[in-house]
Amino acid sequence: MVGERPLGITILSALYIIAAVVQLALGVMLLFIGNPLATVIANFDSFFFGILFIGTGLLELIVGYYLRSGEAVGWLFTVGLLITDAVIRVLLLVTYGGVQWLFFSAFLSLDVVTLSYLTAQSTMAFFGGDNFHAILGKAGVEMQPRFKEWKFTLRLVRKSSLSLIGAAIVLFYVFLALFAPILAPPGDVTQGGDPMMIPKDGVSLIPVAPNAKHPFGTTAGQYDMYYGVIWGSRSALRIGVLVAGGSLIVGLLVGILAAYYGGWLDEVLMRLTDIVLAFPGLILSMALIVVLVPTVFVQRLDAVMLSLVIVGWPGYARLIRGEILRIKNEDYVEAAKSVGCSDFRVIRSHILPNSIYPVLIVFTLDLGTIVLAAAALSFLGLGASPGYADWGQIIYLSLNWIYAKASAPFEYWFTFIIPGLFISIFVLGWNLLGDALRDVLDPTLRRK
Amino acid sequence: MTEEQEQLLRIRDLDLRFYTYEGVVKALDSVKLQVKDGETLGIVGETGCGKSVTGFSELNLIPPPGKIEGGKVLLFKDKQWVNLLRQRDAYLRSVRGNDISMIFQDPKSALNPVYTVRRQISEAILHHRKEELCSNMLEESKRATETLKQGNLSEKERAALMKTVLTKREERLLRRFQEDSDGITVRIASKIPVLKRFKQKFDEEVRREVVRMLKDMRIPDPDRVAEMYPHELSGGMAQRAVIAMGLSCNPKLLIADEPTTNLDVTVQLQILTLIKDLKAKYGMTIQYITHDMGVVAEMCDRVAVMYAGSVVELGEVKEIFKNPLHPYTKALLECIPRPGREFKSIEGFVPSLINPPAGCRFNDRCPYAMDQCVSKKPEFLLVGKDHYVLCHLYTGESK
Amino acid sequence: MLELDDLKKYYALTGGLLRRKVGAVKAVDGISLVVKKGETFGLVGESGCGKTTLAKTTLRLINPTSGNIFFDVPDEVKERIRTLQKEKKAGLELRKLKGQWDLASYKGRKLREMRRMMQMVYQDPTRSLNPRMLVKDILLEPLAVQNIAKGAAGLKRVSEMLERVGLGDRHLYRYPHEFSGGQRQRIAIARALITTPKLVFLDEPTSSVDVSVRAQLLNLFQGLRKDFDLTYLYISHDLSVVECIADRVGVMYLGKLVELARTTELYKRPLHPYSVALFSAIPVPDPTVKRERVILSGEVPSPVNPPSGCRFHPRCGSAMQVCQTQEPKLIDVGNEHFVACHLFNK
Repeated sequence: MVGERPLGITILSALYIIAAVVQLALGVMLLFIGNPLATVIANFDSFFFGILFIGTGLLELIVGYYLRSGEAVGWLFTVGLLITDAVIRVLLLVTYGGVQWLFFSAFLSLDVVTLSYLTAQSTMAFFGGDNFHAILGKAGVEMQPRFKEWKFTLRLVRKSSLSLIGAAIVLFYVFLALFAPILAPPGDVTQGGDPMMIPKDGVSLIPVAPNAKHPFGTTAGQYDMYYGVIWGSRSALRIGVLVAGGSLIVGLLVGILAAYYGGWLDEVLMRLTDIVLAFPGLILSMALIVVLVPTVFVQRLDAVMLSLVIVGWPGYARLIRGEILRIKNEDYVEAAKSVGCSDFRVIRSHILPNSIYPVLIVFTLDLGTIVLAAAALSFLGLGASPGYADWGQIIYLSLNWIYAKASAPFEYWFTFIIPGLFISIFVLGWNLLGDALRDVLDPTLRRK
Repeated sequence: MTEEQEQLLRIRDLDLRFYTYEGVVKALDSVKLQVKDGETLGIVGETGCGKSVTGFSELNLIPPPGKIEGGKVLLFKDKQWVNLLRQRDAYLRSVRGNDISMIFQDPKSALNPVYTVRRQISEAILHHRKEELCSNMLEESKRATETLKQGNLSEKERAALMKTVLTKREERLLRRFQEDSDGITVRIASKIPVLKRFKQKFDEEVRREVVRMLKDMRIPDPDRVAEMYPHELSGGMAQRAVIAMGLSCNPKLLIADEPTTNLDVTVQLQILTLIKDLKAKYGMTIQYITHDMGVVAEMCDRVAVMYAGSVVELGEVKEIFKNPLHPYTKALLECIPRPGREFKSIEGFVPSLINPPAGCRFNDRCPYAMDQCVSKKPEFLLVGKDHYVLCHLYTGESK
Repeated sequence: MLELDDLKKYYALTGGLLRRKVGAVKAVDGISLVVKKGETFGLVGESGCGKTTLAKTTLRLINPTSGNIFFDVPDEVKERIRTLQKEKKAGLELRKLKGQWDLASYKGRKLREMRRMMQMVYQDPTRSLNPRMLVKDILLEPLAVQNIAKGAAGLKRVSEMLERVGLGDRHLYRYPHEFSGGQRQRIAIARALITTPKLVFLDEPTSSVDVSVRAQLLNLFQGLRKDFDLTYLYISHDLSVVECIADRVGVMYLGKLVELARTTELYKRPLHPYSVALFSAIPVPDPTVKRERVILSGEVPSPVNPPSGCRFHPRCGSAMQVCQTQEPKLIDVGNEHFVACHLFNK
């Protein structure tokens, strides 16, 4: 049964997908009208189940690979794998017991929704587990050469300590962003329940130095700095990803069309690029923000993001255009055309994968730089609304307090040094990571 | 052996290793070679057999992660044998280009695209023959002054001679330049308007030398070509310019690393004829590295066959073509396509040089392999007059 | 099977302020030849003579400037088209016929269908295989694009093809750079043959591999030709290989076909002065043979400004007055031997 593909998917996969979809729908329903406890326990159950099969399955592959190559790391991974496996099985037992109890009680009380949910979930587990191994088995063979490449890449990354520092920094911020609700609990009534608005502790405009209640102090308007910088990491990542992603997509589109089709299209698009590039970036974005806010957006931060995308796409367009022009004439592209590939296919399968690497590197570097630009705009007063958890915005609040008085000029250092540090280290992390990525992906440095 | 006195270069037990990510590549394994003075030695083999790196090793030009792990490269210079592997960089720089010169496969990449041909050839000349050229200029000036003193010359002759005469100041500066071309006086002088004339005269002399070389290479219109950039030259012309660079200092030994592989066959014929004529004219010794047996038959007196990092056979060309001893040589000669016959190829693949076989490296593809070939390394045996083989089959016949 | 009628490919050179056409690179200048079904046709010449351009133009990877390409077209249709063209009747009938039969006029779907029938193996397999694609994907792509087979059926064909070229299933999930040069060329050959074409262009397929591997590949070509009933157009500058593999050989110089004959005939009796020089330049792997060499003076002129009249006349030892002004046409000198030279204008 496994391996046969009517309609392109195996029967098991089909059942699995149906069960998963049903489960998802029912789970959502349950959250609102049913028994939330059931959802939570059942979710944890599938979660652990999933980890057990997917996670340990994948881990097994990696371990197997390392073991075969005889590296000491392999043994470390094996031990880790065994421990993880044991722990999860224990947790699974607990939650499984919980699920059984729920099933029983739902059955007794004829709670239809819960029952159907649990049934769907069990089906999924039943079929999914088996299927996973099949999928993984296949993936094993297919992934082998890719694993080798990843392993080589990882080795290069590991060798450079700076890249590890960069990675650590980035992971730190991701951690902050993910666990913001736990590190700085929101839900303060003062800001209308929007966790992205920093809670105020009073109305005084004079910042208060760090103390027990506010570990990083409060800035003008009594906004809690600690809360601000922690949740600021969310907004930073959001800005970085959305803006860099947006510029990337627009830039790619323009660059690919211009490079591949050439001729007048190339001329027109490149002149368009030149026009945008002719403006100084920051000033153009400032002008755009001022125009966009009243007409399109309410939340000014969205206007900031759009304007940065508009300013940022030409860089990507030029970059990908250069790469594509180089690759367009390669033999394998011509060979693909000689087989009859459509333009789209040639671009997608042959040109893009070989030209995207410099763009990806710039992308990672941009993730940091864009946050810097957004912070600059906020500092100039054109960023997020006051009180929004955004690092640049926090510094904006400290504008009047950078130089306090002659006798104690840096009395209020915490108002700008702390968010400033957060920004700087964020950008540094992405820069190091981007550098490492470039060193790793540079084909001339790869082999040997 | 009287043979020893005729030799120019000897390589003994050369071991070369490359320390790479994937392991240690044992590129050369106990390579033994001797080049006689005035002959053309061919080094033939397939990709990866080590023929190019042998050439590089002779000049001690192996880049890291490569490292020469043992052996000697002996050059007969100034009436004695010098081990080039043990010399300092300064000494080696005086040898490279001067005593031993190398020309490469792709002429376009051997030439720097941002400098004219003249500039690149003069670089070598300036480095090695500066003193000689200065002396020449000084002598010419002296002679010219003498001739001028005698009088009774036509206007044209007078003008021509005046060009070669140096003023006292120029002479002094030139002598300084001859001693130390980087001295501060000389450097300043070459920037000051009137004083720098000596440098201009010198540059002119160098230019004349370059043009002379290009003419020797049978390049048409050498004055114009000297001022061209590499991308303006065709393949054949670029290769001639590279050869000019290599020969600009009259080396005793020229190492040619597949110089005609990238060229068209008619151009190849032109270049090969040129090399033969130059060799006769300058009395050079040539080490010709190639994978083309036809070129070997054309150009070479003796030939060394290499396989997987070792020299497996060495001897006179006529002898080796008529009577190949090593199984690899035999197979290689069979592979040459001949019409009417089926194509013969060699079974199997070249062994990985990271984990080469313990015994003879050819044993897994050899039709005559014996038990000892797997475990024991064969010795370099002399079989017949000046015919060496690296093979267990001939242990009985060796002298 | 394949017939080229006066095929031309000119590249326009633009210059001046208004980018006007100031000249043309005549890469292929009026080539007419016939390739018979099942034979191996060798095309030789040096760099810049236009042989690769000719192959790519025939495959419509480059669009021809003028001329007809007939692939498996019945004789009557060919005659009809030629008559119409001679009479310069550029009417509806001509256009319809050409759209249906003349490869040079194909567009869109018809062109794509044709690509199945004609394929090319490139010179350097390192450059002709996408370095970021697995071998499996490289070989599956032609099948998917031409709608021949997908999924499991496609994979089966791929496996069979790999085996046929001397590789195996274990090579499916690898990247091209993990193979040796000879193996990579086999993958390229497998890709070319997987759509079961009828005509295969081989553009110097053995020049980037070693001598010992070369023989393996040549044996492979012969075997595949028999098994798949193929017709080859073998382009090379390596004359010794062409001698062994081709049935008929054409010699090109600066975009023109200067000589065409059966292999044994041509190699025994080259007539055109260029062919004579070319053949005499082949190094012979036998030190006892002393061949008489014709050393040409100068270099191949650039195809931008080809010499007037016979293109070879500036370098030709036997050039006559007429050679400078009049272009020679291909003349039949008997025994299926054609030469384009005024020396044979009897």
